[in-house]
Amino acid sequence: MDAESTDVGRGCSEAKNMFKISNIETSFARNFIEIKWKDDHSSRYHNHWMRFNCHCPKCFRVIVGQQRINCSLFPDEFPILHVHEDEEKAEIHLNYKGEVFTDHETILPLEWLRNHCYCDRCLSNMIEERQMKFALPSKDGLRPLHYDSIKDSKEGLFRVLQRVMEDGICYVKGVPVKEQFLLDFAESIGPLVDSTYGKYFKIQDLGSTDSITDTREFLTFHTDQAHYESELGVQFFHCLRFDEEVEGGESIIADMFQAAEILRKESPNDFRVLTKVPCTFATIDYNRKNPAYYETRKTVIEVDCDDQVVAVHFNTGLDSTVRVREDLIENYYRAHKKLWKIITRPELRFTHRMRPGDLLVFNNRRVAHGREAFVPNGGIRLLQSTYVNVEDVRSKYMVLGHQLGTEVTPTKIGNRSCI
Amino acid sequence: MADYEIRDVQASSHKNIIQVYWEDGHVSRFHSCWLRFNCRCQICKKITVGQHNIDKSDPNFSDQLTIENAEFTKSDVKLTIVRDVIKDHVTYFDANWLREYCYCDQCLRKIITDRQMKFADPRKIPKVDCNELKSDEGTFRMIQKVFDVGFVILTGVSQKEGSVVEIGERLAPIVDQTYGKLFNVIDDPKASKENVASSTIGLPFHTDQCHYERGPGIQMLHAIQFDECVEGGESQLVDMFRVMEIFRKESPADFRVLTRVPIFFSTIDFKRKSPAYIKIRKPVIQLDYDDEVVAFNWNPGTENVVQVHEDDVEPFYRAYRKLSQILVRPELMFQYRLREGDMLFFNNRRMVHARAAYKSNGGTRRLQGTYIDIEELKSKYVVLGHKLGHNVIPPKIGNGCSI
Repeated sequence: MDAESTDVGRGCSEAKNMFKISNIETSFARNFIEIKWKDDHSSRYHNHWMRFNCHCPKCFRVIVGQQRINCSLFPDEFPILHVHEDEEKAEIHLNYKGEVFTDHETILPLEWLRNHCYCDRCLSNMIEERQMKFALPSKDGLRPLHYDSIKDSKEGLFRVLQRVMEDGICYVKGVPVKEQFLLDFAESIGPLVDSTYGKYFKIQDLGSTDSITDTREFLTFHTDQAHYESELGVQFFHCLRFDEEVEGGESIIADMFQAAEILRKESPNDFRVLTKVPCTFATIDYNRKNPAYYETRKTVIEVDCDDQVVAVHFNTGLDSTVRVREDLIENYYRAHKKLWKIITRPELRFTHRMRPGDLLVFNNRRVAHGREAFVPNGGIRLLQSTYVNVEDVRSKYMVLGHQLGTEVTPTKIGNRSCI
Repeated sequence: MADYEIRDVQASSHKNIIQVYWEDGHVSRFHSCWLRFNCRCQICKKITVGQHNIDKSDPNFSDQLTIENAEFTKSDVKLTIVRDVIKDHVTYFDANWLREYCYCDQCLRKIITDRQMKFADPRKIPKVDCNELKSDEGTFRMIQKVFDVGFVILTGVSQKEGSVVEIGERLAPIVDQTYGKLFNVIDDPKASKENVASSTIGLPFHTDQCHYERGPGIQMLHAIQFDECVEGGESQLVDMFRVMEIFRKESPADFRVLTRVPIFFSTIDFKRKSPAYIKIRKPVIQLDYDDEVVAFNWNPGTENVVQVHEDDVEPFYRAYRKLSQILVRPELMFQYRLREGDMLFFNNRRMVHARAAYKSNGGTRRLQGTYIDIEELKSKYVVLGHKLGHNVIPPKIGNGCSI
């Protein structure tokens, strides 16, 4: 959508001008049209794009999985023969030389055309309106939602998901301290992800030698499961017990996307290195109870074709031996160290000592978490955790927003896409 | 495994690199920071998953680490680093480990070529009797074939409902996404309004679930019913990695375009029974750090409107059309008509699949399907191989990386 459409000063009828045409011109080579809209915006649309997005009943897809136009049947060039506006239906119609379907007229609705304008400004807007916004944890703290105010209602669930989508994390107080609550609540959002750790798992000090999670040791900032192609998306921590005697054990949270943008500003060269030189993450253990071989290689920071950060992978516990070309080794370590120092800045961190009935829901693709070391002193610290795919979470958020009649912008979620 | 022996170790004049000369003539270079941060001594070595014993961000590690002293024997190397954060720390490696992790250009290249996919002859359909899955060795060989060729047909599967989930679960966790744990593919007039798979028309080549960041890796389709009178309905598969290699050779410029200009996929439907909003933007062809093709995205049925820079629009469509034309070359297609008791088991991140149109003629064609996680299957394969004493090279599976 164009910025002008959200300008508060304009009236409703003026906003409709954005879907009305002042003028259409065809290019000299007859391979694109330029539309001047009544609100003074200009859009250019190219032949292949228009033809393959035709909205006529023969071409337009109405069922998921349909492919109605076989684009490989078309010639390389098919110049525009004729274009005109149908004002009553608010469409434009085109005919092409070299058209494959007999007697076919390409139909494109004006509102749809404007909403899919791909001029540089509209593309920038598409990206800008989905950017993540960052809080300053040292100033804002972790504001809780109270379970009583959100339970059993669509609006309540929507508010929780809104925080997860926009802030990266939502803290809910006063949830039932029953194991089943976590599964029911998570499943009301989307299917639980079943990994080799099962559908859900407990976190407590077992003095484990299989995994550092089940100990009392300090866990630095990390995202879970970096050894997979895609880390499991939205993670839930549900506190069942956290006795008074236990010293330490606070949960710590930091926004990795925020850290990556700070790195980009403060050390652009180091930022670039981390977008190019991959890290290897691995869990290889043939001897533990669930033997496993997971290995993947990916850059710590991933940028897309518009140089937007679209994914961050950070897990110093799973990162394995770096194997990259010699001339990149020292740059890599220097850059990685810079990023780590930013992630661990005190002002970027939320610290929270969980209480029974606390629930933390966060986007494991955006936010890194950790735990201070703790001393049990005879007490118990017991959490349970599960995951829902972040794309399913965003889907639920958008669907709920639609059902509640609320305008929702789908924020970037760290799944390698800026939309 | 062979034992590697060290002949000599020399530190560079700037003391930030050591050169290791091996008995077999190989030469390796290792940087001081790499050596220190991968130290294999008892204090530093990782024993437990998730441990990190060396704090690389410790400000006491100087930005430029230099080597004070380097000693070696035939089978190990010991170094000291100037002003190491741990007092009197000795950085230690045994020769075999060090050689295995050599990162000279030659060794780096070998990691990738060892794991390259090999392309099979589409005239040969790989079949495995499902009884093979009763043993570890049989299971290992079956998974190996799936990773080698891209798919197998399991034969002799029980016609019990849900067999596909039963077999799948034993191999890797079921991926429950959109269609549920178990779905039926059958001509159903009501369901066909929501998804074109539930009809008799032919389906174009595609991979499932491209609108997710990561499609489910392995798809299994069990022919629970496929009457003789049904005409058509053959399963068709093409190795997309082979197609992309051909594309790269024949049209390198077009190939480049599809690695750079992204395509959009979406499933947005607020009205259907399970409303959903899933939308994503990613390139058709994904390259990695070594310029290798490591993943792709292809589904003409869920593609959404391309919104990219004007200069990229026409090149995008030209490249896309070229690729579509290579994909349908007859000599690249595996084709097979499933019989009752057959189960198609394929790598949905490597193969594109299609279905020929069919005529029911009063009969029924019903497949039951599920998805299992491919990274878990790869883990199972390597772990099994290790247990059985085989020398397993972890294969490239099309999940976004070469290793």
